[in-house]
Amino acid sequence: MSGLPLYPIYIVDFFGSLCMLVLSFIALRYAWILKRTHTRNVFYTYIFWLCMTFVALSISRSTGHALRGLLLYSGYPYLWKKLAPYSGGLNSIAFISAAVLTFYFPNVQKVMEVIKEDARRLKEAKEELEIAHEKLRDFNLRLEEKVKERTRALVLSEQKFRRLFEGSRDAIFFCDQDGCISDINPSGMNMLGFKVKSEIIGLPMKQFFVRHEDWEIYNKSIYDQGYIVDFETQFKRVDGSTIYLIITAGAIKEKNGTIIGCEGIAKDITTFKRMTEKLIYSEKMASIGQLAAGIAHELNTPLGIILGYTQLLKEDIEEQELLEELKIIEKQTKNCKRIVSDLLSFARSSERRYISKVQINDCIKQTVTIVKHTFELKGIDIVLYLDKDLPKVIADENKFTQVLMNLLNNARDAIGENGTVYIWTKHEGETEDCLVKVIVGDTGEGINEKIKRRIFDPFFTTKPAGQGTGLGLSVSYGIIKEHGGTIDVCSPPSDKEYVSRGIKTIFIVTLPASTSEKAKKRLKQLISVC
Amino acid sequence: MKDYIKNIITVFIFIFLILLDSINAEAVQIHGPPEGFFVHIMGHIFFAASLIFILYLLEHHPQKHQNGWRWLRYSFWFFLAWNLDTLMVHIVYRRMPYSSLYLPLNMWEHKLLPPYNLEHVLYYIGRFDHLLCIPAMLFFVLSLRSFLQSHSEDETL
Ligand SMILES: Nc1ncnc2c1ncn2[C@@H]1O[C@H](COP(=O)(O)OP(=O)(O)OP(=O)(O)O)[C@@H](O)[C@H]1O
Ligand SMILES: [Mg+2]
Repeated sequence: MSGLPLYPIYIVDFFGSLCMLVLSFIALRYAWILKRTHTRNVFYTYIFWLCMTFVALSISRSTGHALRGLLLYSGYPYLWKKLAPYSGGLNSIAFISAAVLTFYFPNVQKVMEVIKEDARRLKEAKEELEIAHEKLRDFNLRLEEKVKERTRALVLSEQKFRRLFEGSRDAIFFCDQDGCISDINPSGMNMLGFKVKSEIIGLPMKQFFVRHEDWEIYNKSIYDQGYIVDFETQFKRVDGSTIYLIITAGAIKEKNGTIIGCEGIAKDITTFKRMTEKLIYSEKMASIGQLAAGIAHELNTPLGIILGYTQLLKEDIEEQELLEELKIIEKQTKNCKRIVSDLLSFARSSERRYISKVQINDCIKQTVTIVKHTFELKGIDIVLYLDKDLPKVIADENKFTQVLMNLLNNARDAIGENGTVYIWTKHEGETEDCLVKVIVGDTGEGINEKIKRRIFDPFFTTKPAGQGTGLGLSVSYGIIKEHGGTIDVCSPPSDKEYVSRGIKTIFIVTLPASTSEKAKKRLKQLISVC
Repeated sequence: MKDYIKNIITVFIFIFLILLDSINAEAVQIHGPPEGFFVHIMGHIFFAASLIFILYLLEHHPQKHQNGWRWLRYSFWFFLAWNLDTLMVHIVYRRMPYSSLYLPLNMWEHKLLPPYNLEHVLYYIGRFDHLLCIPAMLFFVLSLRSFLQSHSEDETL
């Protein structure tokens, strides 16, 4: 029978299916390794399962071809008939499974990709977060370091400024927006007479100014210019006394320029001021003295001539009326001479001829004995508190008596009628720099603040013409100065000892107890506390 | 180790299910002879479609010129060709009259009888389908081996 033999096909099928079986198992093994080593890989999972279907396929085919060949050839066609449907079914299912896997895999892959992407993003976010956290921690650490460093610097600076603030001799103060004191250093408290800080905090600065205008100038300058420099003013202390201050202050401003207070330094210049006043005064007195001395000297000679001729005329003239007139001329000329000699003694023109060691107490007693009578007529008592251990002074007794007389006369004039004049003698310090003080106080009218600074001026008087020449105090000033002493006035006096006795004015004469240079120098420097 | 056991169990379940399915099919529902044929044909079509689909994906794969992927592509092309070939053989075989085949008990005497037309020729040539499926499988194995060697983590589509 002719025709195409089918056995070549069978041979190829037989070996081919065996080959397929072997290959599919090799593939399965590879896939399995791949899947195991790449557990997260969807593709390998897919490949693995695909291999499974291939294995199933090759099994079915090998049974379909190889087994069939064997069975038919060995004469078991019945067995083949039983096995054939299983082989065919497995074949079909393998196809379908492979197809399903293939269709399904990319979807899984996509889902996995999405998950992977999410995971990646999450990881990225985590990493970023970690970096940020790291940075933050670093920053925190550095911040801590910085804060520590700054705090240290701040503490140092604070200590420095605190020392300056607490230890300064000048007052340092801070005011708030309302012009009330918000902080002040111990010197400032001291200056204003406060003991406790809480008493002064919150007080308006305004109340310390003696003159309201000064406060206005100060305030205006702070607000308009933002500062005030070397402003001289007077402050009231808490005990009522006044002090001279020089203030330099500046406004405290916020960033936007609004003023929220002021801060400043005040220097107490009271002592300085008093010293300068005194200096100016003594300079003035010296120049006036020179002038007066010149005039007095020039006047002395013509006055002597007038007096001489008047006395000559008096002897020659018998006419009573003319004689009386000549006597008036003589008297007034003598007056003039007295004034001139007063002037000369003010100007230290006369030499210290009668200098000796004088016991001031005795001198005072003698003088008082002389004037006592006239004083008593006006109801004026003289009370003495004399220091028994008073050292002697080197002085011209006559001149000192003259000073005393001047002071007593002034006291009498100030009292008018009924009152008391007190005289103290005191001494201060050790022998080497011992000072003798004579204090004359009266219960009179006191001295007006306005004229107080002028009473030592020559020819300054408040008394009616003819009664006072205004030379008394200036002459006294000259004499005391000559003795290396000082003369001061306190009206009203601040000491209780005087106030309790109703004393309105005291004159304090201070003289060095010994003539040693040291004492004199000290005396010159001495400044009255009044 | 656990994975290994799991895989073996899965394989057994897989095989068991296939067997069970065929037994159940007989028990629950009656499926006549043509149904098996149709299922088989549809399986072929379904498989071919899935191959076209995966080949489409592979053609767009960024690393398609790397060895593993190239082998895989060749493999799938061959599988597709083999699949179409067998599909064709199934169809042609069904259309052929019984008289075209001489199938005595002795296998060695089996013959394709004349007169021959195109279908006979196609059938005869098409029956050498192992010439397609062995290269397909070979490429597949090569591809896997290449993947194994490359150690790369991202052999994904
Ligand atoms: N104890 C006192 N109380 C009140 N005022 C006084 C006192 N001592 C002096 N004065 C005032 O000082 C002025 C000057 O005194 P000073 O002794 O220099 O001149 P005087 O007394 O007016 O005249 P003189 O002493 O030459 O007769 C006086 O006019 C008086 O106003
Ligand atoms: Mg007088």
